[in-house]
Amino acid sequence: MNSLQGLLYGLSIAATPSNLLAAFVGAFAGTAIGVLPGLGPVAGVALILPLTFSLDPTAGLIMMAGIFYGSMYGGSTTAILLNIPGESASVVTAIDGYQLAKKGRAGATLTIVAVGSFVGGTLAVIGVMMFSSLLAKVAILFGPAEFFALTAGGLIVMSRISGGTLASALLPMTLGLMLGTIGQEAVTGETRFTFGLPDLAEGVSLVPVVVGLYGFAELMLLVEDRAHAANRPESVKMRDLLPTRTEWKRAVPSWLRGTFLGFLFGLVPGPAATLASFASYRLEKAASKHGSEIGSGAIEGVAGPEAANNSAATASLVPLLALGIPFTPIAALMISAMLVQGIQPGPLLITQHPEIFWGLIASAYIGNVMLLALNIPMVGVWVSLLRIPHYLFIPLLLVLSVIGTYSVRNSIFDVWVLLAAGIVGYAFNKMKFQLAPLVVGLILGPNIEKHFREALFLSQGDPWIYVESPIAVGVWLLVAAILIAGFIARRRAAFADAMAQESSL
Amino acid sequence: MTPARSFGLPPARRFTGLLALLLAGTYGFDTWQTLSFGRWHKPGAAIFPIAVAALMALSAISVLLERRSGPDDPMPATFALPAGADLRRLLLVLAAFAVYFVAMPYLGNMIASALFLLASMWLLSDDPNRSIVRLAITAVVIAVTFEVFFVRLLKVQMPAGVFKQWLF
Repeated sequence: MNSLQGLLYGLSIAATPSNLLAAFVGAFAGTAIGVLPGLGPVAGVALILPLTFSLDPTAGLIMMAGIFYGSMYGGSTTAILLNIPGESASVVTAIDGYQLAKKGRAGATLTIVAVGSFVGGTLAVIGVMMFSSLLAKVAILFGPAEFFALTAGGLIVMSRISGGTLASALLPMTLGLMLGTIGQEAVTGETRFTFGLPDLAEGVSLVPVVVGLYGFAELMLLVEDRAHAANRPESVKMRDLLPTRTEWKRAVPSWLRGTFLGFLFGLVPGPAATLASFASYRLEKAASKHGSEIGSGAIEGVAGPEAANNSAATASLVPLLALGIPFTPIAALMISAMLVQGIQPGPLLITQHPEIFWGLIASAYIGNVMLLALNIPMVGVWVSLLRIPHYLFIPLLLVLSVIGTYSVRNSIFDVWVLLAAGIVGYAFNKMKFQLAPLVVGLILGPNIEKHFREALFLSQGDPWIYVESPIAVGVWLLVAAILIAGFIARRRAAFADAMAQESSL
Repeated sequence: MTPARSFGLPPARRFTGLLALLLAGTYGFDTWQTLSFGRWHKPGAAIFPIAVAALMALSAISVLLERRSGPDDPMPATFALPAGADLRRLLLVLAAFAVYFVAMPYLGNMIASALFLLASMWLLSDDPNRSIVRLAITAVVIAVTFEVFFVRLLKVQMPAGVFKQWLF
């Protein structure tokens, strides 16, 4: 199946009435959760993702894509209307978006964002088609040693690019690895660390950990923080939604620049959407005719970064699905949802399950189309959601998190895990430990162990197997290069800071 | 709103590091005692957990040895926890949440959800004139909607409880 056939096949699956309904519900729920005051898209997605588990895998994944893109759009809405970026990728959107809203252009800005996201997502799908065939050729060369290099190397890289200090990522990551060793191990079937509890024999389920760490912990922070409750946006009327001819004209080059930049960032493993939006903002300042206005409410400052982060989000599906390593919290949530649906992302996905790979790419596209159809006419609804009081939506989401968690294995024990993970997530948030490495450790830990031991079985105990193949060596060299580049960048930044301080004295 | 209580971040992180070190020791010891190591050509179930225990000890030590680089350190010096009425409210919501899913197998999902929704909405509402009747109606409407949507429509298996025969 070539790329075009693959995409057409994926679209034929995604475009059935039931799957379109799943895309609609996902996009609607994702946007709704993304705009809820004080609740970021990551927490929101974590809370409603279990809804997708009750559907068949295809519809579940399509709904998940809708939730993913919807939540990103919802995050941008709060950035523009309230100056509260729902997620890190929307930080730059808030700068000019909020200034534009103060000038009375909130509706037009939301339209520019919706269309820009659509343009970014659409062009990125075309780019993904071109790269996927190359990926399929490399994928069949992977054995246990290469998989071990990929997963263990990915984990090491993750510990350095997730932000904060090394210790802030390493400790949660190791905790995740530890949790991953509980239950029956994959190679010989031996049971470990269950302490006689039958509920632990199957291991710690990913869903309660993810929902607890991101969703429940965030709700706990909201319970204690009532400052957001006072923040109320202005209403946006339908007639305000149409941008002027000048605004359209100024947005188009920014969308195209942002899409191209975002696509390149998306192919590199890492927090692509965030990096792409920041890079696009800088590019717009340098390349746009109106660069000097950016920062004080220019449409280019919103159009470029939003197209860039959407394009990066779509393109990042390639490393996400091909490597099976989540580098961002949202990606970790998506991987966990796929694992629950019985899909193991990784290099073999595109060759062994092309229908899933292309189905997901197509559903990402359908999600974008759905958002365009949904968001502009319904902007008034999203704005009114921003006014829902905390005392209503926090209990509602808590009930939703319990239903979602319980439904995966019909286990009250999992709901206790949700509570425990929520308390750990709350404490880690307060103490500035990273949460994403914990989830990634839990996801990758069992795979790392499996590939490590299988490689030794295959080589009859010869440890050189890990560095024998060119692919394994290439992966380890890439990991070393990323770590060294990160180290140099941090040293340079520290040096520049020191010089700036010295010159200011 | 009650002012939050401020705590030193470095001591809190060091305490976490100490707990992690303790966890690494216990986990490593349990692995050593209960799991097989196997041979090089047939590695046992203990190999990976031992590596994880060592990594946990290493990360715990790295947290314990952290030093602040002065006022410019990006890591804040303190963190805030709720106090007084805010802390009480948070703990009460957590307690209500725990009671909710302990009671769920007996009362069933719908009744337990309605009671939890009512209790938590009451605890979280800032309005001194809040009406228990209005909150109760809202709670019942949400609980019934969830029951119809998830349990009846999407066929999600939730505990029905002892009142099963009287509901729906």
